[in-house]
Amino acid sequence: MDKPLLELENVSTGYGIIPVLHGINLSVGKGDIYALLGPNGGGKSTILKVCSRQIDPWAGSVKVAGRSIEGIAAEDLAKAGVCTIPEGKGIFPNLTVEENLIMMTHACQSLQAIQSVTFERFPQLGNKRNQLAGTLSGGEQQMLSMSRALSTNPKLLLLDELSMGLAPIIVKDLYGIVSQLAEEGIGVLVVEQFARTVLGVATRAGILINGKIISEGSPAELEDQLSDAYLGTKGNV
Amino acid sequence: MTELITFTVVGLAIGSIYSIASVGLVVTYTTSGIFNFAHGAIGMFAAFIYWQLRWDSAWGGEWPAPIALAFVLLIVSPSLGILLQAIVMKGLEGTSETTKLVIPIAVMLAFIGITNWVWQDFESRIPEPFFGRDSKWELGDAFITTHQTIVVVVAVFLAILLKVLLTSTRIGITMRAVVDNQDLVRLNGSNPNASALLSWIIGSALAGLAGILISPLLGSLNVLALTLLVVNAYAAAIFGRLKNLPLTFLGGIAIGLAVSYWNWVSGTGRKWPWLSELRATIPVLILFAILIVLPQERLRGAAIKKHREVFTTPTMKSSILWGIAFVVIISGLTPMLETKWEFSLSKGIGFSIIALSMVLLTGYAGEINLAPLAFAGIGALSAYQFDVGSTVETGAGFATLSTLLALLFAFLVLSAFGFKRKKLWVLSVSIALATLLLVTIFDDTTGTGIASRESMSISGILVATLISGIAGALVALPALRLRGLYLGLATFAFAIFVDKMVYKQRQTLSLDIPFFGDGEDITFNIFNNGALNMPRPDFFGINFKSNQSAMLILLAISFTLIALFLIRLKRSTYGRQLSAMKDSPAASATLGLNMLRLKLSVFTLAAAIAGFGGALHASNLRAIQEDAPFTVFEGLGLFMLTVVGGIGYVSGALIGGILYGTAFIVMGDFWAKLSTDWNSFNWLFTFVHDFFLFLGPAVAGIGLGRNPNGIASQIFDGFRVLGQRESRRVLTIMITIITSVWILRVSNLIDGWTFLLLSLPILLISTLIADKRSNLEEAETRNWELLGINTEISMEDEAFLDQMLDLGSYKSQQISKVDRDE
Ligand SMILES: Nc1ncnc2c1ncn2[C@@H]1O[C@H](COP(=O)(O)OP(=O)(O)OP(=O)(O)O)[C@@H](O)[C@H]1O
Ligand SMILES: [Mg+2]
Repeated sequence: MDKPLLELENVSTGYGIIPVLHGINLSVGKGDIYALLGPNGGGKSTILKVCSRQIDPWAGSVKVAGRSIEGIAAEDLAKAGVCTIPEGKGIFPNLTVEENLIMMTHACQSLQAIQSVTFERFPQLGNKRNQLAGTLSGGEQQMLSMSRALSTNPKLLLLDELSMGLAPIIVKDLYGIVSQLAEEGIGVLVVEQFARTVLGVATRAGILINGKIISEGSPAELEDQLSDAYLGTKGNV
Repeated sequence: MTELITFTVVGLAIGSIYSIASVGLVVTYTTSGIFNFAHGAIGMFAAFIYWQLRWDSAWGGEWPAPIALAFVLLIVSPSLGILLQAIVMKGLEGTSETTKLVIPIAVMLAFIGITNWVWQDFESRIPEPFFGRDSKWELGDAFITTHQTIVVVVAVFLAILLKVLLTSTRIGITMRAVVDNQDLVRLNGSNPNASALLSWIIGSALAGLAGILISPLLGSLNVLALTLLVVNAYAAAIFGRLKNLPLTFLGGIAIGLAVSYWNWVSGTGRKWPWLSELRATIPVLILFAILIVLPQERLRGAAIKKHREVFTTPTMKSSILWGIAFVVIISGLTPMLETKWEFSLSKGIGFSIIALSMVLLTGYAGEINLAPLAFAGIGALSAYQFDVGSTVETGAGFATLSTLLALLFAFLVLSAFGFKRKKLWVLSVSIALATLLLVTIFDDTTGTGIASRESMSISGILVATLISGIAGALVALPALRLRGLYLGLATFAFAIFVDKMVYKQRQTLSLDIPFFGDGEDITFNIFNNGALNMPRPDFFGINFKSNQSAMLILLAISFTLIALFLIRLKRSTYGRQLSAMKDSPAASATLGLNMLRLKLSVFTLAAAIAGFGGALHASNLRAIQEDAPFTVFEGLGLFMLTVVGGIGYVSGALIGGILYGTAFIVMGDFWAKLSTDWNSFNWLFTFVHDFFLFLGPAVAGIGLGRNPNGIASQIFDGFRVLGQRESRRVLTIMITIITSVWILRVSNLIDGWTFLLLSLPILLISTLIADKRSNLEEAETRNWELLGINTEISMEDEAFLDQMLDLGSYKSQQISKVDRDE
């Protein structure tokens, strides 16, 4: 049972003919929170897309719980317990809050269970069940998309820029939730720009620049290298 | 009272059918983001199949109603829906508005083509209502048929069912979620293709049901009429803003009632004879009105487009060379073409001139116009009215009219070209005066009475151009806020309106201006017997009447001149403003562009071009008929094929027009000839012939309509190598050989086929040779957009990139400026 939940071996991919990722190695175990940091356009979101089967790797292998996910459809992977909250708002703006929750039942949970978890955690969503999700505030939308991570009992959670456009206090809250989830034993891979908060909860971290992970280690070790990475003094390989 | 009940019930029944159709349309739209233009055609097709199963004695025939109904609605229509989604509509998300319109239009034409093909003969097919014509019950003094009752009940039931499906079941909610974000639906653990499929199944089944229900109300089955009838439902769908089912349902009922009450008030069209066709246009009038009144949705966050059109503008020099080459080639063809072929080719070029209006409007300015032929028809009719008709009876009156039109026209167009106040007026007035002068010079009859003559005059064409231009402005004026699909629908409504109210107009409209004249001061007698004999022109001392070659060359020259004008326009400030408007109306508005003026002027110009082309085209055909060549469906076909050709290029217009007017007919003829030559393969050749004739355009549209740049750019890429310096030798050799073959042909040493067989391969081979030679030189640097991905960019690479991106001149300018400064 010590197989890592998510394991990338030498993964390369890109869009069309333009390569983006070059030989990524990465693994996330049970209870881990792996924070992937790096400047814009480095390929962080692309890594998550490979892991959630939205795009195919060109080379290398992606394994979830020790099994290769080659050829599996994205929706089946989601049903099997890989929960991906994509960049931007992971919600359907033209559906109501309630209908958004109904969409979450595709991952094999009952609506009651989803509702009770969501409204307990985010009471303010409870008053807005019949409001269109697109008209919620940015924070509320992010809560709604996080509620999928909370309520569908995933084994592996892939989060893309949870903090985008949110007040620091909300970000802190959301990461509180993430670390709780990790304590319950799920693996988390988070992609972030906003390094400070996530490094507080992460167990491991990596810096991705130009499609390569240039360094990896404990959050404390990486904190020092971050400014170099963002200022571009390193990694122009 | 009895009448009220009767007409209300009739209205409710028709309205219910509209509701069923429009609800189906909304379901496919909300779940796929595609406005299914083919909806009406699917309904029509289903009605034909149903008729075949129920009543045709030769084949199928005499199935009991429930079984036939179940077969059509549960098997045929759903299969059509599945086919459509799986083969045609899939992958349209993220494409341009034009593509999203063109593909469904192509599908619609395909259904019309197939139906015309299968049910070819003009047998009258009369579907019966449910339980026969005599099955009815009494309400007060009025009779209500069982069919009407069934229709209303079914509609209400279906509306409720769908509402429940879409808002209260998970599959329905997923169907709506797919429109928002497909990828997210996947990440939630559901397959978006499955829900899209379901929505297409439901959509086609509802279209089929509407077609079957409405067909008994029409009398004999008619392909186009039935298609258009379901098109009426579009108004209801827009009323529900393409997403609100209850509103859509009510909209359908309201339209049905409006039509029915109008029939009541107007005594089924007898009271005001020249308005008699209005009942058929009420739904599209409502559609137009709703589009204009409805507050526009705030623009949704612009979706990232998968395909972007990239239209490059050719330089003026090469355009002029190409233009000359085109006219020379056409003139060179005339000695060797039989009159029949010349006529086909002229027909194609006639359509091409009209298609140029779409290049300006849609290709350059990004405004979709589905009524190009309506404007062309208005032009043709105006030219006819002036030259042959008797609407405007005196030359003096005509001169006044054209001067005023010219003034208005010039004002509309010039105001968008940056002319202001005094300058604008001075220019407009001088253009108007010039028109007056021109009209007086070229109009021999001015001042002498009735303007009736045997040939088309320059002033006739001029007036045609002006009138259709102003008509364009009048249509554009209320529709200025509309864009994309909504603009397409508004112009579509206009096209149907013209189709019904003008081409089907059999009445003379007499207006009496008080205190003036004899009581019938203006008489319009547009189309009193379904066909008008258009005269050929007779100017420059050339008789175009008997000389098809001259007509062909005249069309080719007109095409070239307008095309050059458009290219010049595109390269001007005005053209850049149009591009800006196309790319982002919001951004250009913030830059201070006056969008309203720009849009109005470009509509005016485009409609004027269409009108000019229409007048010339009709004159070439020698006739305007109610069903050719300016109908709605022909307009859609031309639009579609121009997109296939490349709507951003004048050459795309040429390809579109020739495909539409010439190619498929000539190809059909070719196979027909083969089938008479080789009798044993008759069935095969007849099949191929029919295929080209009925389905050619639609198949071209479905197959090629996706390429946003059209085939023009591909062809020109092929030719471009021939124009390069390195290929000079190949080019010279090629031209020499082809010219010598041509001389052989003209001196009748070889026949037309041999000429084609010799010259086409030479053209192809030389292109290939030139391509190969230039490839050898370019082999290393071909993928210049990939430079520097794997290695560092060197100085040479940088210079090369500058050259490719055309930054070289910019740099050298800078350098020379620096030099000067020092
Ligand atoms: N759909 C796409 N098609 C083509 N190129 C893409 C696509 N999506 C991303 N890219 C390119 O891939 C590279 C990596 O993109 P990615 O979204 O993974 O970056 P990121 O590290 O997530 O950046 P950010 O921090 O800004 O979100 C970028 O250069 C981007 O332009
Ligand atoms: Mg990203």
